[in-house]
Amino acid sequence: MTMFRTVAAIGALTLGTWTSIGQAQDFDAWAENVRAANEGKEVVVAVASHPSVEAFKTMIPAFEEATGIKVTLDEMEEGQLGQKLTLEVSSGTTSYDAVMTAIERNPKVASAGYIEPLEPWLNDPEKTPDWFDYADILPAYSDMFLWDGQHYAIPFAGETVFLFYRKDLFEKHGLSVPSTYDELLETAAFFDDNEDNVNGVSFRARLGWEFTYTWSIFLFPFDGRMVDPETGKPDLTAPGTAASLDYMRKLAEHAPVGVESYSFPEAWDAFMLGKAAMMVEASAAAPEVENPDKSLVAGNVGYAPLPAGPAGAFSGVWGWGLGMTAASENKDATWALITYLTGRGTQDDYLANGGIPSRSSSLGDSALQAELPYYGATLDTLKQAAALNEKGLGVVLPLPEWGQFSDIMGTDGARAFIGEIPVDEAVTSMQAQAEDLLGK
Amino acid sequence: MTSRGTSRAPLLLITPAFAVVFVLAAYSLFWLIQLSLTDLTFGQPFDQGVPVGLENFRWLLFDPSSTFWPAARLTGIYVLGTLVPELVLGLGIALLLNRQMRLRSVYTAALIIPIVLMPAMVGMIARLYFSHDGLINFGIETLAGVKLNWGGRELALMAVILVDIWEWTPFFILILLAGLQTLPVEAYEAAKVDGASNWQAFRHITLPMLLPLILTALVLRFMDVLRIFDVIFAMFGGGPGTATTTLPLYIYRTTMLAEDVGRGSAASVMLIVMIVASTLLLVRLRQRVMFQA
Amino acid sequence: MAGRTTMARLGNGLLDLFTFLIVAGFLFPYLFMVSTAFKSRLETFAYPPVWLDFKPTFENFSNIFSDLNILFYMQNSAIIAIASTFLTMLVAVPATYAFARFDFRLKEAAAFAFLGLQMVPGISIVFALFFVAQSLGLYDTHIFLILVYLLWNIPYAIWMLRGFVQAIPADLEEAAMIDGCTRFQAFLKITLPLMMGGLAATSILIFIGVWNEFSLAFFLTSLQSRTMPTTIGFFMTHSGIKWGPMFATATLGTLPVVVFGLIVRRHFVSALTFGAVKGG
Repeated sequence: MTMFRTVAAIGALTLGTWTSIGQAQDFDAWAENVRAANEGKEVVVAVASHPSVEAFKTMIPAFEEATGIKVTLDEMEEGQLGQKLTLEVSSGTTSYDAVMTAIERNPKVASAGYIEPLEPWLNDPEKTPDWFDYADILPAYSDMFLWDGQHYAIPFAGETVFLFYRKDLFEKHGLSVPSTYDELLETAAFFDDNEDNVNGVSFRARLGWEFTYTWSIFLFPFDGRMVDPETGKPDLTAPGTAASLDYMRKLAEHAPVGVESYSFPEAWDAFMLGKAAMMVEASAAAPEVENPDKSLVAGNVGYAPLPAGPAGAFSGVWGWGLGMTAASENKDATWALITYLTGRGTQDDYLANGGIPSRSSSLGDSALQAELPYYGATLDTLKQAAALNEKGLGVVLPLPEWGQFSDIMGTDGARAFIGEIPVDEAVTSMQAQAEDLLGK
Repeated sequence: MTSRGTSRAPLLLITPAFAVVFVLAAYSLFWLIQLSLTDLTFGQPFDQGVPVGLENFRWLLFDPSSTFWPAARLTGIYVLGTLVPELVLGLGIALLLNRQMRLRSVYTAALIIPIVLMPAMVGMIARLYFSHDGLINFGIETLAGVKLNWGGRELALMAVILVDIWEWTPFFILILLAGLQTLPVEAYEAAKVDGASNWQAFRHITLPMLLPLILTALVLRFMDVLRIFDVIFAMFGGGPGTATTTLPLYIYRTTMLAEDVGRGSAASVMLIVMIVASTLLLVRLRQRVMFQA
Repeated sequence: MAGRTTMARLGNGLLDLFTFLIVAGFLFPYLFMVSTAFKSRLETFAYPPVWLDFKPTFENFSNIFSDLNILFYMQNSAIIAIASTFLTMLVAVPATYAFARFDFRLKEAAAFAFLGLQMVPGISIVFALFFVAQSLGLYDTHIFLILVYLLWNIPYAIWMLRGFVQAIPADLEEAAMIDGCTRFQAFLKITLPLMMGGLAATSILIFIGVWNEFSLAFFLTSLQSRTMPTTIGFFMTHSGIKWGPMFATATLGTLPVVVFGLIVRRHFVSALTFGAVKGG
């Protein structure tokens, strides 16, 4: 499972800077070509609600104007998008030309032939302009969409998970940022005791894939396993698995009341409204947290890499990408849209409107570095994710069965989390179901 | 008075209705049963499914990892937890409203609103109201000084039940109120002449005369309550853990999230059987009670 | 004597107050929802809750009309609900008439068959219906939902209308027929006008049922035919749950049904109890 070439990625980051390309000219020429072949066509894209999608919405009018292609976004909630795509895969038909696909879903849709391998487009200079600069995208992110040796989506929003914390509250009490999970627990407990109306830590824990998401962060530092890296067979009964669940239960005592039903918007809201002093959540939350229109704590937030458990400090890489459906009838127009939205040439607009960066040029830009207070944490957690991959492990299994595996973990794991069943019973049950699914 | 007429006429009139309903139901049930006998993953085309006979049913009913029985039990708790309070409260409030002369039509107008609201929206709104810093906790904190964790495993089911009670008690109120208004005044007058107290009048006149209506209302509500999905889905999605996973939610989670179409369909078949069987039993019971009256 | 009357009056007064409080209690969550639709984001989260002390804003409503395109979903809901109700009545009225006026073999069996067939929960067959829709090429179309809803609507309509038809004495029709009308003409001229109230109430109840329906609409619609209830997922966004717009949507979405419900309330109870009770 060594599919992430993160060592190279880190190298690219340290070298990258914005280079000025003759962007305006290249773009106009490209747009003209696209218009000549595709004017009047319509491209329909299925997207999930996400900060990057907000950025896309601001960028699309310029695209439509320059190329004469009409773009329609069908926006829905993440879980719904997943179901919608699965339904389309099962029926063999689609209403979309492009879809926003996540790392968790990619093996399933790619292996079913629902989306196209993109090499033919990427390697064709007629179709892909220079200013797109595919190599600039962090391989850690673009490799998320590898299946069977080919890339099936262009990533645009790479995410890791890091630790959010309230600088102001930490300063007030003279606390230092926790570097181990034991310290995290202590710090969380401290806030419960010493600050009115502020809980220790917020995170999502709603049963299902949301629980699995958070759990996959705590799983590996406690030496838990999803599958055995050598054999690929379920290994949930590894002792670390139960230990990580026990830890989560302890941590929950210092989370806002009701955390067991939190979806990610509720987890983010809790932190943004000042109800939790820390948050273990997706990096995609950072722009929202820093937005003074939406967040009461903007400007007072620090970002840190994740603490270490007994087995080490690990984070994960998730992300979204744009893929093209195999059944699309307007592939050239769709590809033009994809290159426009994810290309290097338009990154200025993208980032300015809240898009999440995933290119080394963006992350390496010193001006941006100064602006993005979470830049450091992003890099650090990318390294933590790389460390995990070096052990042959990952927060997501690159299998078409990941959805089901994730639901097994997310159901029985959540039941153990709230104390409905004992932890060891949950682990045994999960292992049995996982073996049913993947074999022994 | 009915007529025999030409024996063709009634059949002609009923056929379109019957045809549509029957075709839709039969076709869907046919598919459902086929799927329940297959091992199919959500996302696989149907022809890739593997026929497995009754294996799905066996797993659901007997396998230790299966949470079918807890879901069935939760459904039973939900049914009792909603129908009983709704009936009792409905009757009580109907009695209160029966005393009102002037404001009665205003009150009944107001009471229609919970019944006709979109359950999916009600669920989302309840999600906010039952949040830790929401309306409900505000009321409880004002009265009792504590805030409750409605999103936790002990109270989530109760939260969902409370929402149902809010939505459907007015159903009982309106029906029973209409019934109360058709009760013969002479019976009460006679009772008063005989020296009966209010309570005795209630027990021996009101209740028996209302009984058919009470049973009718119960049957009507019962048919729906076993299928309730929208509110629970919006509020908790079946969680936390499996605290609100009643059978309809169990079916949803098994089919769409655990992606096991075969087992989800088998659970659906069993739910349908349960609904039909229990409703028919209730109807039988009601007929028997009414014949004795 | 005087003491007892005062006590009785006091008791009555208290009961009146109690009644008022209870009804207010049922209405309150709805009123709070409507008022919250006019609040700004931070006011929505305020604890203790903000009752009346806020400046109403229309931003939530303008948001859902522009960003969310709520009008499109309302349109879809309206099309599907109206069409389904119309088709339902078209088919159910003759059937009800047959049940009410004729005796035929298997009459009770047929009546119960209707009742039983509609007991199928939507969520049970949604996946099977999905396959059906795909194979017919009707996924995400209005027509599919309109037809599928008939499975539940027709039996309900028949049962609800039954009481209204039975309330009209068959003698009136007999008299007309003796005078030379066909049964159909008698129906049109006499029966139908007399059952208008019940017909309206039943139609509106069926309409409300379709308008509010969630599970089937959620899974069987997409870009083209998405209905209002399915929009609840749109408010779970990356910037937190958008309660304001959601409440605005809920207010708009429930407005027609509230209005309709109030219009028919006279026949409401009768329809709901399948004719077991008259009037409300």
